[in-house]
Amino acid sequence: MSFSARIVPEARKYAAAARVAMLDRWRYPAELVGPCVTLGLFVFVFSCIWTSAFVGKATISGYTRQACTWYFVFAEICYFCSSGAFASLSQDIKDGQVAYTLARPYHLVLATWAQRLGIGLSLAPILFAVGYAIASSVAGPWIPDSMLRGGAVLVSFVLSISLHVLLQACMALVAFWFEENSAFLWIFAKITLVAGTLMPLEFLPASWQEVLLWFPFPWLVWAPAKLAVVPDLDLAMAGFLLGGQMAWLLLSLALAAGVFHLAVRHATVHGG
Amino acid sequence: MDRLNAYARLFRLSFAANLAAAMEYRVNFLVQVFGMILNNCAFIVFWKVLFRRAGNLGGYGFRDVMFLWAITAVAFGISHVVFGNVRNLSVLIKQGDLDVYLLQPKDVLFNAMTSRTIVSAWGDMCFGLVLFGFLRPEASAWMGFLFFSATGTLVLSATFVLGESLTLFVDGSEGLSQSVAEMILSFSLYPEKVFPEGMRWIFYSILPSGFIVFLPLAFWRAPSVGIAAWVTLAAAGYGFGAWLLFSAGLRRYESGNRISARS
Repeated sequence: MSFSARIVPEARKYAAAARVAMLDRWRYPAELVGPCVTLGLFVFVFSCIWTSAFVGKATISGYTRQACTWYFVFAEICYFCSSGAFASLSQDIKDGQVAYTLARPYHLVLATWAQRLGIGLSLAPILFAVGYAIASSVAGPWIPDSMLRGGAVLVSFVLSISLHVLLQACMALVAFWFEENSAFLWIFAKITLVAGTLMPLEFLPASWQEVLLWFPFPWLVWAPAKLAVVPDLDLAMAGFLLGGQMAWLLLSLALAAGVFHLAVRHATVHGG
Repeated sequence: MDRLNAYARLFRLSFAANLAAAMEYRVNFLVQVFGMILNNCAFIVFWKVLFRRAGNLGGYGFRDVMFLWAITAVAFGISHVVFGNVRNLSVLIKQGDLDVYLLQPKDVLFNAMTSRTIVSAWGDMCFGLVLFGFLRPEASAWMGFLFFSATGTLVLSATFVLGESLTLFVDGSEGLSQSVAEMILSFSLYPEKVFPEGMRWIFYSILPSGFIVFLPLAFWRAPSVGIAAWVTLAAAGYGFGAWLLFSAGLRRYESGNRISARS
């Protein structure tokens, strides 16, 4: 059987999983209210903070007030759209629900990735609308000034969710060994928050930036948010940011698959 | 006086039982406490970096913002440590789980709130106290801090109860309660002056962050009896108002006809 003959049905399977997750999310529109209110609140609070921080200053670390406001919107949307994978997978492992998933004809890690990507993509338009309404009223509208920027932001957004989900899956799979694995997520989430979510990476001291770029944290939200607001985006910059995300995505996919391979040996199914 | 002693005894026993239950899983307890401390520390890094870049925010410096964080963390921590059900009331109401408290001879709101503790809130409480210690306050400042932490706990808890009590009047208002909680926390953790002037009245009415942290910060900068008196009055007012609204709504409560035990 040729490579494509094997890959296409597999890809269809995971695309179906993503589509079902997306439709499921839209089936309960009331559940979208919570994330929208929270995102709207955060964007409003941070737009106020940036307004105060930029009094008497045109730029801080190369970012204008408008850029910072929009940076925050994109960073938060990436974060909101990809959170939750850890909690659901971790819970499934702890309560044994994972036994059903393991028995199905798909790979747990890839299925989780597809489902969370579906959820993220279904959330993104509505969160973007909320963020856009608030941010454009205080910082002016965001309009992609080139095809390169628009395309790069979209690709980067998908890479961001994928990378975030796979890293969360790695941490969730630790539940096969440790009952209490939430500490891993907390540490991970807090470093991510500081390394490019609450503020651009460039705000941090130079030595911190150099170190952090060797870790996956900035590639989760800093890359897509920077692509959205950096002035004069060129191919080299887009290539660097997307390339970094892609490299980390492949690494995290290999890591997640490896952890799953080891973890599944610890699965104990009691029936029922 | 006997009545007050009886409530103090119930409070003490509930607290001891909740603490014992939390300590049953020690590793989990420690992970949650230190995890929450770490969580809050991430924001210290954010503020440190921001102030280094921006200089000041609306006339506030790093120490001022750390004071806001310290007092909010302690108030939030105590509120959830001793009144662990304070943000779970709407669930209890919706599921008809208040029956068990209605059958007991103590005030329903007090009894329900004190019957649970939130483990991670211990982390918030410890974080706030240590953070304030790092600001190297004098003994008198510690007195003020502890006093305003107590009033802040009361105002914050009362606001949560007001939000949660809406479930007794309006079906499906849990989302609104959740939003009220998120908003009051968000506004309490950031300097008052960064927000537009036109909306600051909200901080002294619907979302009383003003009484939880902004007035205590003003007191810390320049102590005044007037501020302490206003905050005390507000704490008593919000506390009584929350109890009144919950009690009024309780008449509309419908039993879930479920067999349940006091958690």
